[in-house]
Amino acid sequence: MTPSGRPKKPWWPSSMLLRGESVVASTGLVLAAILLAVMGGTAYWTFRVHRNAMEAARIDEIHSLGLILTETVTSLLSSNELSVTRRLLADAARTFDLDRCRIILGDGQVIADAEPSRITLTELPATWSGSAVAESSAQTPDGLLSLIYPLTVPGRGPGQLDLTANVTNDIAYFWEAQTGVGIIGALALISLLLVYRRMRARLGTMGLIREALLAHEAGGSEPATLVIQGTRRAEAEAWNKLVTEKEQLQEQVMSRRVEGILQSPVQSGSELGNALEEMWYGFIVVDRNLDITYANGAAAAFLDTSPDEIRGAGFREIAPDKHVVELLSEVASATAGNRVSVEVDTRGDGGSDSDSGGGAVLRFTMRSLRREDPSAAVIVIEDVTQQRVADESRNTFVTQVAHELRTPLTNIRLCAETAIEEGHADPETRAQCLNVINQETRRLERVVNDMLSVAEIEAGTIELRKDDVRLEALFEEMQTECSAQAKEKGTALEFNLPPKLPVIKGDRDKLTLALHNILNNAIKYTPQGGRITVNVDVENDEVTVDIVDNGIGISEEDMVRIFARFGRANDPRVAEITGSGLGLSLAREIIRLHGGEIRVESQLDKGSTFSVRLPVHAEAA
Amino acid sequence: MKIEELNYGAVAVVRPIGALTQDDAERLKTQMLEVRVKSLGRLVLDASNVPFIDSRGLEVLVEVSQQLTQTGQVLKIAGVNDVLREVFELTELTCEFEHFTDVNSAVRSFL
Repeated sequence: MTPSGRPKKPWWPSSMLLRGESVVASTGLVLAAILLAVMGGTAYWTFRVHRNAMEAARIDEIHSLGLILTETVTSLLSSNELSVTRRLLADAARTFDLDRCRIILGDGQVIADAEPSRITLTELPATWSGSAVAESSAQTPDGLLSLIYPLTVPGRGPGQLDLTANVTNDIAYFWEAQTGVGIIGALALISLLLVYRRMRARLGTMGLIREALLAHEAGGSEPATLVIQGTRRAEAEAWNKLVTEKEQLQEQVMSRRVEGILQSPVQSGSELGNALEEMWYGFIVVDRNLDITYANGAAAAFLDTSPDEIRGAGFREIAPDKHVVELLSEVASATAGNRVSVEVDTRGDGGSDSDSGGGAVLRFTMRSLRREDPSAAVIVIEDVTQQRVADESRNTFVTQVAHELRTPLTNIRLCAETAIEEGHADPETRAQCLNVINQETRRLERVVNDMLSVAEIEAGTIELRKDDVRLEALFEEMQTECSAQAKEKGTALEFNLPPKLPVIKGDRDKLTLALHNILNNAIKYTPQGGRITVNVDVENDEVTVDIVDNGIGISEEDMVRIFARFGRANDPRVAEITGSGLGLSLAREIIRLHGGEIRVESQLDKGSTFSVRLPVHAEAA
Repeated sequence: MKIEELNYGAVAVVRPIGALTQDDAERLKTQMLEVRVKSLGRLVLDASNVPFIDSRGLEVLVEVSQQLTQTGQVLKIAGVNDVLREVFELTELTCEFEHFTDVNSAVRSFL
């Protein structure tokens, strides 16, 4: 395959083979060629070895024959048996297929020869002259072997036996055998081609299937890539049928799944249902009658029911607000995609009491579904209570801050104007104005410091400077500062301090601020003629500071909010007195950070007692 | 053991003070489940004043957590000390809860 996933172009002409049989054909041809080469090589080597062995045997045979003939002929010629000698040579030449077999006397006369016409001397002479020859052997390239053996006939003279034979006569046999093997190989190749010709179409189909599978694996995810085209063989049609059936089955499964999802958008226990159960958003599906077909656990909690009860129930019966039902009816009967969102506040008094802990602000987002679906609408419920409370707190904070800052600023501005206009003529008026400006500036500073401290505590960035705090000095300073304020207000302030007060670990400024806030509250909310007592006691390594007043008191409902940020009692008498509502919140957090606690006991119109307990040895947080 | 119940905006904070064991754990469970219903699950357990927890205390926390899980919520625990953190790790319950360093962080997570 090429990197692009397309099959390589074969090196043979495309018209030579059917599409798809290239692989089979190439493999078959290579195998046939290897088979023939092996057969030819084996035959050649076998026959070559065999021929060499036969040649060696022939040479040995001729040589042995020469030695035997030499002995025999010498004996026969000694006995003057010339005719027997000639017959022996003729028989030997015929039997062993010799080209030449003769006896030459020392004077060169041929006395015996396998071919009688070559004999030059008819009678054996009594003696003859000549010298003896040496035994020799020679072979020509064309395979003729010449052997010469010396003879010595006793009492007569020397001679020689001359033998010539063709030792390569078997070459014909070799080529005959080679030809036989070649014919067998050719027949095998022809048979192979015939079988291949017979199987060609079927193999082509298999090749097409292989190509389709490779193309599919290489990324052709389309089902059509598996279909074989251009042939109507039974195998191809069966393959195409299998592929088609597979596609149809896949489509059926997919359509059933999709149908299941569309028919029943959410089923409890399904993957989607399990996922929705994990959500902190209420999720409800209703049909056209506004009966609930699915609801998750969060939806049940928001609608104050159980998961078992909500499923199958009518949304009308459990909806927290009629307006939601009306809107849902409109959405469910409208076309798909209609969406409407509404917030329902189920808190007791319209949300002003954010700290009551009961009720919530729920946002219902409703959306219609397709007309062909059995379900009509889906409802998503979000709990936005904390966001609303945060918004309200922010708005209250801004209002309170604006009020707290505006009041002293207004006083400062008025006094400054008075001092500018009348101060030069009336020193007393100027002094009064400057005094007011000074007081209001300090008030501003206090409010800003309170807000910063509260912000630090809430952000978790407040840092206490751990140091030794001498409580005696702290209360003396408080007494000095607050007595004037109480005296001005016309209330009696009494400090009951033990003879000796311990030194505790903590942040002196923050502790002073906390105790000041509590005591200032007592002075502010105790009418003229009232009495405030600060009782300090040390017991069990714990300092208890009780600030008791006989002021306006706090109702039970307001007790829960006085420590909240900007929390002030709903008493009209409280509203008349300026205050940020930050003081007690700040005091409580500071005391907590020092490991202590603050409690309040109060009765409306009878007075309040704020008890602060601080550990002596505890490390500040 | 003393159990305080505070409200940070619309979020209810339950603050046990003391070791969370046996009968105290049962009281905490009852109170937390009541608060859960009242606050619709906007619940934070302030564990900054819990020095120790026993097996019953752990069971209670898991039971409350499972109740919250049924409505897609998770128990948010703030201010866990080293002892409790080690107990949660040894009992492989750390992932059962959502942990915060302080109550304010836990309350802000409801925004």
